[in-house]
Amino acid sequence: MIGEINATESAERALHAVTLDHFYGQAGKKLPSIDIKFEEKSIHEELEYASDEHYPILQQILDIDHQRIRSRLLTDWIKNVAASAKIVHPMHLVNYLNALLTVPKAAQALALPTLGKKGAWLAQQNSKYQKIESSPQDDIWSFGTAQQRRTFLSDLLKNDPERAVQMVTENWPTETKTEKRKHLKLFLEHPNPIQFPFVEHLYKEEFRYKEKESVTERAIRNILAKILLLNTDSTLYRATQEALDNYVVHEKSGFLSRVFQTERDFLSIPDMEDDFFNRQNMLETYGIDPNSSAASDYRTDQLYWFHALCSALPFEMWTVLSGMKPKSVFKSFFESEQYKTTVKGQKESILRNAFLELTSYHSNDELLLLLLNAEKDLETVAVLLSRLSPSVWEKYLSKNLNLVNVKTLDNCPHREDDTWSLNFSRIILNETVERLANKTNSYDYTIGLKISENIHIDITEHLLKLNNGKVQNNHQYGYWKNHIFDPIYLTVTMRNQIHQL
Amino acid sequence: MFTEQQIEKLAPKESTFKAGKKLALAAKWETLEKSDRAIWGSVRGSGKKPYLTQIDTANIAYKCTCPSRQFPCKHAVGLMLVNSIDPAAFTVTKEPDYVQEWLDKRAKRAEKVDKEEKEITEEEKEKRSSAKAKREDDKLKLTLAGVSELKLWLKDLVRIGLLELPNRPSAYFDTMIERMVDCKAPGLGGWVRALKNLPYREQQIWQDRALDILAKLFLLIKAAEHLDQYPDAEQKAIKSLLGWTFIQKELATDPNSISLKDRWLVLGSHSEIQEDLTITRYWLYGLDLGKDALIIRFYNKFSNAEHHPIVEGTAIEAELTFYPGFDPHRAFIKKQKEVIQSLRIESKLMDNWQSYQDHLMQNIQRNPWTNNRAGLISNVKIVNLSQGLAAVDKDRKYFLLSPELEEDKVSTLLLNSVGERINMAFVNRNEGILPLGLFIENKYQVL
Repeated sequence: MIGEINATESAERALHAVTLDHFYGQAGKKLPSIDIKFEEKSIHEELEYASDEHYPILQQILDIDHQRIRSRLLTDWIKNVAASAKIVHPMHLVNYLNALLTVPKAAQALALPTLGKKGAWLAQQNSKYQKIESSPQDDIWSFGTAQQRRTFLSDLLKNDPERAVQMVTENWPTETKTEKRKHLKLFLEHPNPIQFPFVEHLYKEEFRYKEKESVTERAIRNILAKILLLNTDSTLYRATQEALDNYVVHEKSGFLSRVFQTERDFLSIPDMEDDFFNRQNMLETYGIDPNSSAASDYRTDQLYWFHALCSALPFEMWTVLSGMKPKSVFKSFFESEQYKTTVKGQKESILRNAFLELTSYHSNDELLLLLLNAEKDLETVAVLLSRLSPSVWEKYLSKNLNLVNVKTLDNCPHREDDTWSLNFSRIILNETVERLANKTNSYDYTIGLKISENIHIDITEHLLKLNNGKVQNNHQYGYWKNHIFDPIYLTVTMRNQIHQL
Repeated sequence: MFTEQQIEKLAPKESTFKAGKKLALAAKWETLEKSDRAIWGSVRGSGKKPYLTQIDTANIAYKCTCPSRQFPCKHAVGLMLVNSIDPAAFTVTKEPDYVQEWLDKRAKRAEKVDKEEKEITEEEKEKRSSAKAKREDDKLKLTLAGVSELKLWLKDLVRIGLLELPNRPSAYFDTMIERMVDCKAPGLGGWVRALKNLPYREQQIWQDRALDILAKLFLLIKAAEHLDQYPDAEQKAIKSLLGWTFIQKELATDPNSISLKDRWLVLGSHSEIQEDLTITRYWLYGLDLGKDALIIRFYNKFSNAEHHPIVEGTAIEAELTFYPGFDPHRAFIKKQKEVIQSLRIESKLMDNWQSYQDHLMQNIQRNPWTNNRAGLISNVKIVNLSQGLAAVDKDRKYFLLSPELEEDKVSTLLLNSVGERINMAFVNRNEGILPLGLFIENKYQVL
């Protein structure tokens, strides 16, 4: 057909020639070969791959729309693989790495051992995955932005306090004063006895009172004093307790008062400066700002300093000093006229704010429950609830079901990967169904998602029982099914599947 | 049946798949039952009565009593998902009447089509045949007119100078593409489109490819001009290359058509969008006969799911009928018996690229326009060369990888290749080799 170029027209002859040339070239085409020696990189995994059953479940998790549930289930899946010292097969690694980009840092850290050498290699090769890869841990501390370093330190203080203190100590001389203040603030938010020697050293040396000191240096001393006051063995704690004992009004030890331990005004705060309550001592010892504008809210400077001390001293000190029960101490502080001040036309105790501040870093269930019972502001109630220990939180909410809402559940004190107890899980579900029956439901479309994050894994039977019960005839069944039952059932079923792997 | 990823591909819309996922838990179904040819279940929906959903697992088909116009509906998707996640949730039982009736009706319908063909009288056959011949004759005249027009266009292109190609406006090509469609020769239009879409910013690449296209196109024009000199089968092959469509029903009953029964492994697919049309190519490989096949499907936004959905990574026990060609490899599913989900693959893979190249040369001798041919090769390594990624065999011979390969697939390929050689399924595309999947411990995994 094209064997011979016989066309008369030049354009056709050209096309003919192109065609001949193409097929002639193709017929004799030799395969190219590599002359140079290419690097035969070899990566051999030492760990076994996760079984085939893992991957359909992984895929199911990745297909879930709701980010928090996906993240929660993925964390469970990662833990399952990591616990059996297995790694993800290279066929699934890219999907897996893509999914890890969407989960919190803590889950990413958990996943690192499951990537295997190949996963780590890919994470290094592809900039997209580099933030998952492990090496930046130390790099973040050395070269990260101020915000990255703080997030890193905060996580480390929670998960490995010893290493956190060690890293801060090693870098200390090179930090600016502002950074030092921020690091120590994180120490205060995550107090741990391992910090005390380093903090005491700073308190006695670097941030000891100087006549000419900056505002930051004073503020740092204040933080250091707060940390040291959490240590009942510290010199500062003991000295403070001793000094405050001088202000305790000891009651005559009558039989009745010993038995009933009724609340009374057990402290007498002086109206004038004395050896303890004076500007210089408060500044030198506790780093309390002598020029704070907040002082003007208090009847006397002494009350302002007392308030500042109350926000730093563990509540237990007052029960020891007074010999009264915590409830009586609390009542005394909240009802005594000497601590009352007028806020927005209402009289309230100056110690309310002090204890709110104290519980933000030093949680004490007993004090929190007393504060909760006295608190009227619902926003503050939600904050206080989140500071309770998980079991006390469950107990309190079980008795105060009117407080159950998405916000409260969202701020539950359980760790991200912890679940509620089975009993509490049942109570919450029952309450949800009850609200539908009583038409007191507030139609929060995210409550089912929220519950599914923490609900107990063995709840399925109870959930199905509720679903097959009276809720079937409720006109809000659609809401229950789509927004409560479905997300919870899906999450619990999948978590059970992961556990059975 | 299918994996979750595969079911996702069967769902007509992402939203249908997501809605189906919500039904993917056994507890949501009132009944879940199966026989050797179907699965079925009942599920509560918004209607008073529960919906009855059934799936023909041999010749994939769906039926549901819900009012949805989606096909498959969310209930069918949900039922398939339950089957993939928790197959033990289905009780093996006798088919209820409604399932049995539906399956029997489907079987009868297939038989009826065959029977109807046979029942036509000789006279009617002759009448139909002469009418068809007349239609084909008219069509051929139109096509050959188009061929002449295209030849003239090509010669003009040469006269102006091929270096002017990058300066040609889109309309210059589009007019000719439309003209070829009007002349019932869309296959020729495809070559013009390929010229239009060359990467004109990359000088060396576009010039080489333009010459390749011109050579193949000119050869096809010459073949069309001498059409009457070829035997009947080859005439059909040329017409197919010109873009003539063949009715599947006719091909399926034509005794001259090639039909092959095999366990066809679906190696992979690739989709491209042309205007409102999505063209998906599926590459299959016959595990017993060692033959490759290409199935092309066209979808637009109004398309329903196919009668026989093709799911990557599965093997289907089926009979394929091949379209006419010099070395037929484009096919359609004539009859499907079963979908095989998990299969140990023991096919013989090629040892090196030279074997593949030899095979390719033989194909080119039979069909100079050959492209899109799938193959299986063992022991290759993915290496990053200055020209791009390449699959290098143990003799250090290589093929460059097609730039069409998506980033995530490249990563998966590299992950599996680092430190070891891989056994790979691929397809030969214009720009290089497009890897489709890997054989890992005798199991095939799609990239």
